[in-house]
Amino acid sequence: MLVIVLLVFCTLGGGQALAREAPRRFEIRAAFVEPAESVYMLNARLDFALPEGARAAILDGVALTLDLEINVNRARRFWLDDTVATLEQHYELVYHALSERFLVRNLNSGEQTSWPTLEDAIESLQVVDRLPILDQSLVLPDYRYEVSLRGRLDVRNLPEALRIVLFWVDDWRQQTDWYTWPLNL
Amino acid sequence: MATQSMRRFGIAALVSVGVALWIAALLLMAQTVQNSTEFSRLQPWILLVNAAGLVVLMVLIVGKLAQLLRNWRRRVVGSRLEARMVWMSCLLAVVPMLLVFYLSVQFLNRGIDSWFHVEIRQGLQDSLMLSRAALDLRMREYLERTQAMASKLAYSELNPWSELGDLRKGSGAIELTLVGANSRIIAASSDRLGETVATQPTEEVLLQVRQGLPFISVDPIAGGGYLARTAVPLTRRGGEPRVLLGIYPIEERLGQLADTVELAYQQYAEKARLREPLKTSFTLTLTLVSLMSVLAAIYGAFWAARRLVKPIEDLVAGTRAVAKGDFGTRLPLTSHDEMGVLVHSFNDMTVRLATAREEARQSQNAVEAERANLAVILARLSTGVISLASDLRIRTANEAAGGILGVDFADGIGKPIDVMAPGMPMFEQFVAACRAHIDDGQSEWREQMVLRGDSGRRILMCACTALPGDASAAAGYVIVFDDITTLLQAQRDAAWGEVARRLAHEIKNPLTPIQLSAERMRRKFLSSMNQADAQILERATTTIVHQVEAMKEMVNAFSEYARAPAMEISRFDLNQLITEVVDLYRSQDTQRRLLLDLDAALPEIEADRGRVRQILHNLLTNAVEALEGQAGAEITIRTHSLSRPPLDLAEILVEDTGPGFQPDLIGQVFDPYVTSKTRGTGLGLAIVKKIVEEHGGRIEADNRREGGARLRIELPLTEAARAALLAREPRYSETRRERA
Repeated sequence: MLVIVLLVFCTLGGGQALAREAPRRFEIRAAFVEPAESVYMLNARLDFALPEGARAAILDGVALTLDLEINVNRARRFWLDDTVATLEQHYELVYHALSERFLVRNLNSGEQTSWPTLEDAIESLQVVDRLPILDQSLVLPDYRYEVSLRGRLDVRNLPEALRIVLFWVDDWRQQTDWYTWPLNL
Repeated sequence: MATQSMRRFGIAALVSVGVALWIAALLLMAQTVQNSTEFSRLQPWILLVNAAGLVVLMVLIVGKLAQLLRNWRRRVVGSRLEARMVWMSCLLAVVPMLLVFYLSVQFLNRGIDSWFHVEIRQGLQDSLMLSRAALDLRMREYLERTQAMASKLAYSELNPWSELGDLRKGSGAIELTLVGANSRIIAASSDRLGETVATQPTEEVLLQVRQGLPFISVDPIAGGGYLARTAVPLTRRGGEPRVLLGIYPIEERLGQLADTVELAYQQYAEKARLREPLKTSFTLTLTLVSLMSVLAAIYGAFWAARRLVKPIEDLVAGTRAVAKGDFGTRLPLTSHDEMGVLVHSFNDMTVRLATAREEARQSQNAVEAERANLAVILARLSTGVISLASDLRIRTANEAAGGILGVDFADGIGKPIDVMAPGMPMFEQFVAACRAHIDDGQSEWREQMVLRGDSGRRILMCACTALPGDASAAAGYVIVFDDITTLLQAQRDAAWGEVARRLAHEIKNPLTPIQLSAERMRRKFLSSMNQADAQILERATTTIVHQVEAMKEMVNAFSEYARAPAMEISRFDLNQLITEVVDLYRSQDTQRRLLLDLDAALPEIEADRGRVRQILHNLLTNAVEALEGQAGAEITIRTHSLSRPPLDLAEILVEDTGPGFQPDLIGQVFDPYVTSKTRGTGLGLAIVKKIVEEHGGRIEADNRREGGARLRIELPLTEAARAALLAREPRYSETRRERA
């Protein structure tokens, strides 16, 4: 009985958190690939809104991460699709209390930008601009290719033992559906 | 049986799943502690496994509880004990567990609260403020430098590139950039190698500068350290608005200190924020573990109670089986503890009981066999045996007892001996005599009883012994008695025979000399005497001679009685003999009617014709004498053929309508000199009886109900039957030998 009560409590708690703090879904508004020189560049526009709890957590120094998963598949008629390239990009948003600035880091390249407000920092995260994803030589003619993109927001640097709690009560972990479009229209 | 096996299998499977889930949960938890990267992936599984484990345990416990309640309602043996044990075990397990749980939660919450004490937060904030103040001081200085350089540039007409380079070197800036309208870079100077493109002013900078305000900020560098960014508007009269951007390094030492403060503050803020989730997390984990432990303890209590109660249930079932007489019950020996000793003792007891019962059964069989043997022996005994209970109820009575006492004991077994007595004069006398002794408290006595009944007198030699009982009363009595009437009669007959023989011998011898002497006296002296004397002598000698004759007759009769001449067996028609004898009497006597009722089917008899005639003469003489002076008297003689396989007998009945035998003499009518008549020797019936017995036959005398005497004689028809009867009744032959 206690178990059931506990589970119901957790579920309800999580549900309430969802209802209160997730007014907008995390989604990919637009994405396209443009050839440039010998590579394909990814441009994307993400859309998400952080709940109040997440904003407060970021101000307390908790890092917010954005992971982008990019897959390029070659479609095959009578067989499973062939994965041509897989790419993961990791971004991090942290608040620097001393300088009172919000830092956005590309964890793959180490590049870092600083922003005076959280909104600016989030906006910079929501835009992917000319990210090279695939060498053009890998794309063969007469084949159909598809690019899939998925984003995931997560909380990093948490004590691991606390994740079990945050998993149920916070809506920090958001993930988009796969956004797929043909490469060579 | 199959359903029970299935249920057991199901429970075992559930228990296994429960234990496996528990262990899995613990392993998962341990793994997450050791390897944090797996935690996120395993989180839901840990919860699921825990929840599933709890559900399994709950199902098991509910099942056990339902079974216990069912047993309780059905009053199954051991259910109450099991319930009590479960209740106590649960109490003993759950209460300390709850106490520990409560204290642990309190301790955890207070401990976590104490980690985030308010002074630490304040101290860290103050440190942060101090660091900011230090940086602000340095940045203000850099801003002033930038402003000074901007003033110079505003009025300089020199090449901005070269002037900017000079100013940068003089100011200690890393990079100086002069930006015109539309963020166009007019000139730039940098000492950073490889930096070919000057830093563009950000929107944030431009926004502030357009308002005519200087901009200053500190930017953390990706690899560590800080940069101070300044921007100052250049206002030239009539010229386009320009902005001077300056980037200055913060000293390494200062940067490191600031980093340390920043890091400490950040870590503290991060953890302080997680205080509540931390508490919840610990509480949740503790709750899960405690719940699992409590439920496992409760299930363990059920299991342990069942395990402890099972042997007791077996013992009770075994005891019930033993109580119902099933001594073959053996209980499984499941342990070697005290319960095992008890079970072993029980099994030992049942073995001993079974052995004892078998022995008792064998003893009983032996006793039954003995009893059957005894019953056969008693049934064949001519001695009467009656056993009585302590309350004088008849336990057993053999056939001979019934025959002697004239009672049918078949319906009397179990009844008090007194109840049966009324209506049976001989048995009544017997009971009265026995009761007299028993009521006197005599445990062992012996008495010769004389019982009188319709069929005459019976003499019994009776002995009684009390059966051994407890101290206060006897368990019963055994009365053994023998009908010694015939024996005594035979003894008397033998005595009489002896007397007769001696009398004949001793008296007969002097009689002849007496008679001869008397006759000689008369012959010699009668002629020589006078008339008077001669008459006297004549009378005297005549009297002597007559009396001697009479004595001779008497002695001859005695002699006849004692004589045992050889039998002259011949085959003749009994009816014809009877007719002959009766005709003799008919011719003499006309006052009495002599009736014959002879069985025409009576075969010829093998007997001593002369002696049978003697029997008939004696009986008819007796009857005629008994009927003397009685008008309308009748004598009836009947014959019948009797068949008592293998014996064939002839029955002769002589009945008269006279006064009959006197009741007190009826048992002695066959004794010599027993007579109710005024004349006669009293040997008639005695001689009859003697002849009948010599033939192996039997004679009985009794009175008819309608008045008169009746004599009944049974004679064997053949010589073989006579021999058989004589062999069966050795007394007669013995008697006869004695007489001989």
